[in-house]
Amino acid sequence: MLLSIKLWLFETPSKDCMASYAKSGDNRYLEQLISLYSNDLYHYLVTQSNTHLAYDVSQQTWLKVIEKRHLYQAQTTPKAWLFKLARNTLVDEYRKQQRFVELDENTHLPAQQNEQGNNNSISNINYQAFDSALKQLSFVQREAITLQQEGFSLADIELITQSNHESVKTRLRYAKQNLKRLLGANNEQA
Amino acid sequence: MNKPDEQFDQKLTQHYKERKARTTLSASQQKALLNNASHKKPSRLSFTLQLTSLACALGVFAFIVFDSNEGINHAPKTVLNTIDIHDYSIIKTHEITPSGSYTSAITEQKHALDTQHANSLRLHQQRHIEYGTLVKVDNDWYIASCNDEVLVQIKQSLLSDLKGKHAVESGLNTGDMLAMAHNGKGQIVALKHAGAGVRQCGA
Repeated sequence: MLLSIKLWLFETPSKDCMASYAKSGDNRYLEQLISLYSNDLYHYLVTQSNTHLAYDVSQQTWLKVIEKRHLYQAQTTPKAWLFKLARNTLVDEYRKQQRFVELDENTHLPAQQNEQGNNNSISNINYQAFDSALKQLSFVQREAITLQQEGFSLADIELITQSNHESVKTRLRYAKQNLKRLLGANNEQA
Repeated sequence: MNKPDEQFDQKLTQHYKERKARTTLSASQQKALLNNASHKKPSRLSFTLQLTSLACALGVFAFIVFDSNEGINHAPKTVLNTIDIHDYSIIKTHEITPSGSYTSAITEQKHALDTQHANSLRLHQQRHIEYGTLVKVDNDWYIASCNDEVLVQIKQSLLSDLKGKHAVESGLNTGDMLAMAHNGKGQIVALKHAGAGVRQCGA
């Protein structure tokens, strides 16, 4: 009895807000989720589309979280589950708009010709060049590298993109190779 | 991993973090997200779908049940060994009571058929030969009368009495068309094959 009162009084909140929200439907958990992940999600969506569409898809995704919270399984990380929902919503949106999504993951992009020639060193890569190079990657390569930088494991990326292990590894490898080519970073290795 | 790769990865991470810091929701956008999400009630769609599915299932179930009941009502009432007493409005029972007297009774299955009952009783007493199909034989015999809604139940007591008087033709089997001979009081006095001329009701 005393133990249960103690537990009730000093109950620590669950670390998995998504699991708590899925179980209770309490909006406090939803607000926590939005505070924790809305910016990460929005950045991923901006990287894969544009600011306008990203915000629109972001709103749709949070509404889907409300609708589909009962489908959440605590075995997956809440962030990966959210990103999967967002990704599916974005792809649906592209389909509605009949926009072509580049899925060719073996694309080799030509090295960027800039005024200084191909003598960029890694230390000289500036933000604008990086941003520009990232945007030139194919949808799936950009997605793979973004998710990896976001801190997701290979298994998480497989879950989010619904792809197999080898495909994810290939996309990451090509994404990095292409970024290096675009940024002229290969020259330093040569 | 060689040094250039490490350097590249570090630079990649650095630029990614910078890019992420520059690409955030504004305070008003985040507030709008919170407000929208907080005020959105979960859709009742899934519940509605469940309810609709349940209603459909019940509808199909009811259709099957009532349709099959209707089928039974229209089915011939002389199917061998498949007697449903509820298919008959009237059951006439003939027997010898323990005191040795002959009794016959008509049991009404439906109260609304009082008039029909009276008519049937009158016909029952007037008729001398009644035809019907022997549909079941256990201790008692059940004969589906050609008077469509009448099932004649001949109890063991009467059968024994008739057999003792050699008034039951031998070789009567289920499915045979029988002739039931009545005396002036409507009592069954003999059972025999209907004969070659009468093979089915209405012939």
